[in-house]
Formats: sequence, C-alpha cells, structure tokens
Amino acid sequence: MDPFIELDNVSMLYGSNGTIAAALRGVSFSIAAGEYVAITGESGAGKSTLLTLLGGLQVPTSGRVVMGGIDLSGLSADGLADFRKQTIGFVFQAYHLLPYLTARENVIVPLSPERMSSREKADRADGLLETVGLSGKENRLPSELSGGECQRVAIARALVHDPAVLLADEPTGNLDTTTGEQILDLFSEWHGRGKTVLMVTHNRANLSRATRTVRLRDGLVEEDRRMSPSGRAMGLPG
Amino acid sequence: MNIRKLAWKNLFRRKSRAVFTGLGIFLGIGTFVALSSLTMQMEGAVRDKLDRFGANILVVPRTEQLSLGFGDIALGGAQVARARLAVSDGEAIRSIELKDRLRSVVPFFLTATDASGKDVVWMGLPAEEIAVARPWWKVSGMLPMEKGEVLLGSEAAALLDKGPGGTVLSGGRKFRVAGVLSPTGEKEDSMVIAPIGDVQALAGSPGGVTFFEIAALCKDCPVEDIVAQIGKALPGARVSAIRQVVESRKAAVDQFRRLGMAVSAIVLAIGGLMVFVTVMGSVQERTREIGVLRAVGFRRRAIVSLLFWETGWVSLLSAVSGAVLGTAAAWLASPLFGVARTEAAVTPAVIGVVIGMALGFLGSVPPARRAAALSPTEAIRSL
Ligand SMILES: Nc1ncnc2c1ncn2[C@@H]1O[C@H](COP(=O)(O)OP(=O)(O)O)[C@@H](O)[C@H]1O
Ligand SMILES: [Mg+2]
Repeated sequence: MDPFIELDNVSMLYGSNGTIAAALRGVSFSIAAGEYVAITGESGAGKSTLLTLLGGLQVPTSGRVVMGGIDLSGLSADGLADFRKQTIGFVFQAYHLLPYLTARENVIVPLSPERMSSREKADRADGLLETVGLSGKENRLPSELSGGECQRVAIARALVHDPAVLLADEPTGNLDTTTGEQILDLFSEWHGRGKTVLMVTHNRANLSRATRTVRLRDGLVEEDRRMSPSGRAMGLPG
Repeated sequence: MNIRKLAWKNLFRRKSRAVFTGLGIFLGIGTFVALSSLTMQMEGAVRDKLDRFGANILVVPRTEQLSLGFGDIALGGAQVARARLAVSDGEAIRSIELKDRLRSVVPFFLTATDASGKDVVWMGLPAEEIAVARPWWKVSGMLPMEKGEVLLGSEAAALLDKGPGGTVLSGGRKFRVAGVLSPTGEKEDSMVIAPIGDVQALAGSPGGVTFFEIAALCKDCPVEDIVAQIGKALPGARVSAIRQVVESRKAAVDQFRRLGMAVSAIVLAIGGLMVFVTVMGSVQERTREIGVLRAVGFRRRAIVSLLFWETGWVSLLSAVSGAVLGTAAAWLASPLFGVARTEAAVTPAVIGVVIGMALGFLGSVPPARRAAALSPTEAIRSL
C-alpha cells in the first residue's frame, strides 16, 4: 500500500511561561489513501494535536508530516491554507458554525474567497445539504437547528471543497447515541467513496466503523491495529 | 456569498459594536466637514470683500513722499503742480494694459475748510460712485446725489448738530444735509462728504484729486502688475496696493482655520483610536471564528480583507453620515460666523468621506495584522 500520509518521528512541544509540555513525543506511522482511522486515547494524550498537524493547522516542533508527497513543514502559512483548502475537511466537536449565517451560508463560507458565481456556490451548498439530509433547512440559522443538524451542516461545510481527507475531532461528542450514529453514517458514506477519514473518538462503539485504530498515550502511539473487513481486530506487524 | 457579504453580515450581527466603531469616525468627520465648510465659506466671503470692498490700489501724488525728504517748504511750485493728481489722470489709469481688470477708479478730493463755522475735513468723490466705493456705509436719510447736497459723518453731524434736512454753510454757499452716516470707525466719521465738484470748488482747485481708489475685478488679480502699469502711466504718482483691512480679516479666518484643523485632527485621532480599539476587541472576541475560517482554507489575506471590508462598510456609512451632518451644521451655523448662507459646499464633504475611509483603514491595520497572525489551531484548541 502506498502511504498517502506519513508521520516521521513527529514531536510537538508547547511552551508556556517557561514550562514545556510535550503533546507528541516522536510519533511515526503512515496512512494509505482510503483508510478510515479512529484515533483514541485518554484526554491529554495528544489526539487533537495530532489532528492539527495532519490538517496543516500547525507544523511539528520536529519530525515530518508528509501528505501526498508534500512536506507540510516546508509550506508557508498561505501554502498551508491552500493545502487545507484543497485537501482537508475539518469537523469539530463544537461544530464551530458561524451563528449569524444560515445553514447554506455556513456551507458556502469556505468558498467565499473564491471567484465563483453566487448561484454556483449556492447550488453546491444545497447539493451537499441534501447529501447530509438537510433539504428544506437551508435558510435556518444554527440556533434554529438541533445539535445533530448543526453537525450535519458542519460536515457539509467540510466537504464543500471535496477534500481527499476528512479530519474529525470527536464529532459525536456533543450528540446522543442515535444522532451520533447518523453522523457516523455520513462519515462511513464518505469513506465509501474512497476518501480518507481520520476521526478522534472516545466512543468504543465508533471504533467498529473504522478500518484501523491508533491509540495514543502520553504523546506516543500505544497501539495501532487494523480491523478485518468483518470488524475483527488484527494485529499489525511492525 | 463572498467576503464582502460575509463582512456585511458580520456587522449586522453586532450592530451596537458596529455603531460604536463608526461613532468616532462619524463625529470626527462631522466636525471636520462642519469646520472646513465654515472656513471655506468665510474664506469665500473674505475674497468677496477683497473684490467688492477692497479699494485694492491707492494712487497718491509723489509729492508727499518728497515732502518727507525735503521738508514742507523745499519744493518748488512747479514741481508740486506737476506732482498733483487731476481728475483727468483717471483716464490714464483706465487705459492701462490690464484695464479690463479695473472695476472702479474713484477720485477723492480732501480739503480742510469751514463748515458752519467749524473747521472740518471735506471729502469729495463722485456722488454716483459712493455706493460702489463704500458699499458698507449705512446712511440715515439719503446719499447726496446732486450738487449742494452733503453727507455728514456721525461725529461731524454731532459737532455741527445737524441731521438730514439741515443745512451747512461754507464758502458762502448753502449745503443741504441729505443724510448722516452711521459710525464706521474710520476717519470719515468726522468728515463732511460731498460731490467732488463742490469740494474742489470750495478749495479753489477745480479738477484736483487727492488720491484715486482703484478696485480690481477678480479673485486672484495680478495686483502687482496693475500697480506697475499704473505707476508707469502716472510717473508722478505713488501707487500702492492696500489690502490691510482684508488681510487682517483674512488673518482671522486663517486663525479660525488652524483652530478648526487642530480640533478636527484631535477628534479624528480619537475616531481612529476608537476604530482601533473596537476592531481589536472584535478580533479578540472572534479568535475562534477566525481560526475556523483559517481552518477551512482562508489565507491570511482573506482574513485581512474580511476585516477591512467590515471597517470599510462602517467607515463609509459613518463618514457619509458625518459629512452630511457636518455640511448641514455648517449651513445652519454660517450666519453666526458672519457668512451669508450659500449653497452647501461639496468639496469638504467629499474630502471628509475620503479621510473617514482612510481613518477606518488605518485604525484597522493593526487589528487586521493581528487577526492574520492568529494561529488557526485556536479553533480546535477551544474545544
Ligand atoms: N496550544 C497549546 N499550548 C499548550 N499546551 C497545549 C496546547 N495544546 C495542547 N496542549 C497540551 O498538550 C497535551 C495534548 O493535548 P491535546 O492534543 O489537546 O490532547 P487530547 O486531544 O488528546 O486531549 C495536553 O497536555 C495539553 O494540555
Ligand atoms: Mg482533544
């Protein structure tokens, strides 16, 4: 399998008022295109940090993150922004919708710097909202939508640039089990189209959807295993 | 939806903040436009005065200058005669190259002589020129229109104890008092003003002229050139431009303008500071939102332009409304500043809007830079 994403001895240190916290301490593994990776671990294990590095929101203190042959450490801030736009879709636990925009407008936000007709943008947004099951609610504000619906809008927003990689940080953390399952269905569907999905999750039930589980502990990979198609865990050599 | 509309929607979400951001610009531009419109109107009025009332050029015989050098008795009669001005010199003045620029050439004849037993100065000028040469005179009664009619300065009227309809005796002739001049603060208050022919006759100097007052006919006249040409036409005369009266008024207006500029500058600086503070606060408050925008692929420039559009909209709206308010205020206040209401000037309003926009831009540069420098990880970290 060709590695699409490579993490090579990645360390991330955060320094504040003289104290230095190591969020990641030399993490190496690679991910092939089309994998569905669940990242687990205790709170503070470094999961979110790992996701920000994979998404090019920041670059590691040391080590390399290579995606699609591009070393993210070598990119400028705008280069990273372009990389995120072209390759990454983010979904957050708290949705992070802009409260003053309607569902449609929230989905369009990533397109707003683009030269594209308003019509085209709106059509694309409406298409995605239909995909996530929100037809007819395009003009609602986030405050007029349930938590699950907000997360659907956020997913539609993450998909608007048709990213190769979807990064989600505890996307069902704020939702009840049933609603969470519906959200996970959307990720599975996207994965089914051959896209790569990386999801940080606490929920054991979520793990069954993934093709692979990476467990972090204190900034290190504690466990990395692939699931068989039937959902049975398989040990991973090396 | 594009960045411009995104900015617009954001403003509407925080109306009171937007209003507060714009308030400084609104007041600053209002002040600036009001003061500069007023200054402009006052300057216009001064220029008007320079044209209308300003006897810009004074022509006197050179004799007086000579007499300073040689003493009163040192001059030969012939020389004095040659140096004296005559009504006919008016023709020479009117035929200079720049004659088209001359609005009026008014001969004056002054003589000290008896008036009903009191020694006063008589000032003669062509009756039909009085309104042109001294338009600011306020007269109770009439202006002297015919021979044998006089106008009394306020002090002269008191001295002679005469009013309109009275008579003044001089040189064996009777003069009817046509009117009395309200106090002007000038020397004419103590004079008897009469048609020039009568005064010349009283002095036994027909055709004599003490000085000419010449008014030029344009805003930015080549006064120096006119002076030179008249000097050439009348070699025996001393020609000088007098603008002191107007200049002093102009100096007052200049002072007002400087004061206005200083006040405007202070208010504008406060306005710029308000933009800075409120936009900085807004950036602080929206750290997460900006992080989300960065996460979904906004370049730093897109964040900067989002903020610029936001302050751009606010600055435009508040600068325009400030300019309207300032123009209206200047229009309403102009009578208080001794300026007649004219059509509202557009230039200060336009300049005001430009300054307001520039101010909004300047005030939002530091916050925009700060916003652009924010790390996009903030979005995820704030989970
Ligand atoms: N921006 C930051 N500055 C300082 N410390 C941070 C920052 N982000 C994360 N950390 C620290 O790094 C460690 C890993 O954090 P995080 O990646 O958020 O873990 P997780 O998502 O697994 O809970 C924690 O100890 C956290 O306090
Ligand atoms: Mg986390």
